[in-house]
Amino acid sequence: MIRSGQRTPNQSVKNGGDVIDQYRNGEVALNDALRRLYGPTTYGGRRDGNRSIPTDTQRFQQIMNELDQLIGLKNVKKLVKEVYAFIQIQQKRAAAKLATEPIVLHMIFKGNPGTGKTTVARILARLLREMGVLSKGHLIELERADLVGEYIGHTAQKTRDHVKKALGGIMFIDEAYSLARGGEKDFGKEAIDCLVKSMEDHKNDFVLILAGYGYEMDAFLRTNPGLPSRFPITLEFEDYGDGELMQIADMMLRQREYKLSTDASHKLRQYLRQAAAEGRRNFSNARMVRNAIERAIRLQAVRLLDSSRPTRDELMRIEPEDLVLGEGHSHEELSRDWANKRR
Amino acid sequence: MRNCLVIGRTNVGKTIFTVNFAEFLGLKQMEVYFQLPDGTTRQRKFEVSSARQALSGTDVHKTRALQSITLNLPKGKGIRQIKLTDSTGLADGIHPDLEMREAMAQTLHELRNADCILHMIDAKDVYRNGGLSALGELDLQIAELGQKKQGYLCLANKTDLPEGQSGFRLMQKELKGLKLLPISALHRIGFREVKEHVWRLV
Repeated sequence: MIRSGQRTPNQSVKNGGDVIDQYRNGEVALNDALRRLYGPTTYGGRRDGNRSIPTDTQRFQQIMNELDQLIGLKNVKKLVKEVYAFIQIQQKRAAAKLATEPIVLHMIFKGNPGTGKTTVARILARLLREMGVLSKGHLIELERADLVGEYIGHTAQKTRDHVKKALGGIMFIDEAYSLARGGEKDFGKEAIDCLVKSMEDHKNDFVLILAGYGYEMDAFLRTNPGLPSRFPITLEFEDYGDGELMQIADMMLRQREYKLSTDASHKLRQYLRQAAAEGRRNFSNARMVRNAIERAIRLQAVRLLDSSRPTRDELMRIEPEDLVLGEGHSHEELSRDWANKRR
Repeated sequence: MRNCLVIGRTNVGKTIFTVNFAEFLGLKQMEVYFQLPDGTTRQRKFEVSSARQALSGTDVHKTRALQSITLNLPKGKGIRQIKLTDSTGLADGIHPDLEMREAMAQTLHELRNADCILHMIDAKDVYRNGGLSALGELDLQIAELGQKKQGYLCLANKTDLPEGQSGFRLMQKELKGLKLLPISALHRIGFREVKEHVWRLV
């Protein structure tokens, strides 16, 4: 007679402890289960592979903290959290065998100079690696000169080489609008076409970030009709307010173990407020603050060189006369500094 | 005793076939052993007519456990027994309902242990979808697995309907070289051939 009455659940688990159990837990589709019902159960290895994907939360948290420490950039932080949640849920959905959207993360960063585009790109690269989206998580920073070649056909080759290098990481093209600037015969167009092709081909392998100033980027995106739709994420880096710039100044000084005297702080705030109100095009936000501070540190050093025995407090404090703001920061100097900092 | 498993998609007529086939073999009263997915078993006695009402229905996934009936077949001078097991219908992909998945997992488990597989396909659905492969991979996979067993038989059910007839012809083209029988579980068409096939196995 039928002996199945004695079949306990335990036994059933032992008997079918492979594919059938996996099906029961909703890990494999019925068709896969059938395919492997008699064959070797190769699923174990794959499941272990899935297990190793989960992000190293501690390191991830560290990078998130780094991002949170950046002052301002509210919408950037919000978007990074969105991307994080999206990726996590897509991975969970994939584990549950549900349909998943391919993760396309090409981005456009728009913002005035010194609003943190490069900084955010660097953090993003490491963040995406921790999330398991990018295999390597390195950042390649490029500019027009890196992509555009000297003769016909050279551009595509150069661009493709850079894409190959960037696979598994982030390709960050600063001042991307310059690719479209040269006019009809310019090789920049060729570089754009080549990039458009490769970002479709390798959309799972790398992330392309184009950065530039808001107005110029809008003009750039209009040059190729397919371009805007290929970037699902656009991040606007807004100019910092004077309060935020003061916070940045405080933070930079704290890192360098300096501090502003009350008067110097007042002077700096005054200047920042004025600059923000004027809305100067050459006003380079956080970078200007950094330059001003570095200059102040140098001037403070010159001032203290004469005094025979400076106290610890004096060594730290920056007086109003050390802060030289506005003057001396000619446009050329700023752009030269900019080029150096890109490295 | 041979294990004979009736398997197929949901709502192809596995249960009504089991009950009617048992009746065809002369059973007046059926003792049905239920093996529930949670591991418990129970036994119930049915009159054939009440079994038909209680066990089968037109909804999908009416059967949610293995239901076995022991059939007696005369062979030589004695009687041989065969266990006919009706199973939960299968569906492509991952069923969202855990309970159903457990029931289907049970079916898979039984599929592995069964000696003989009666694979039931809804010929009407085959015709409506324009071919067996259009229905999904599932039936082709069962057919492939079934051929590893000694006694595999593919039953094209619902061939009493005109659509079923056309569907059966489609299946003949697709499942060349397989034992394929047109039946109607509801109207007991083709049962004699099934009986002969089962009998040979005993």
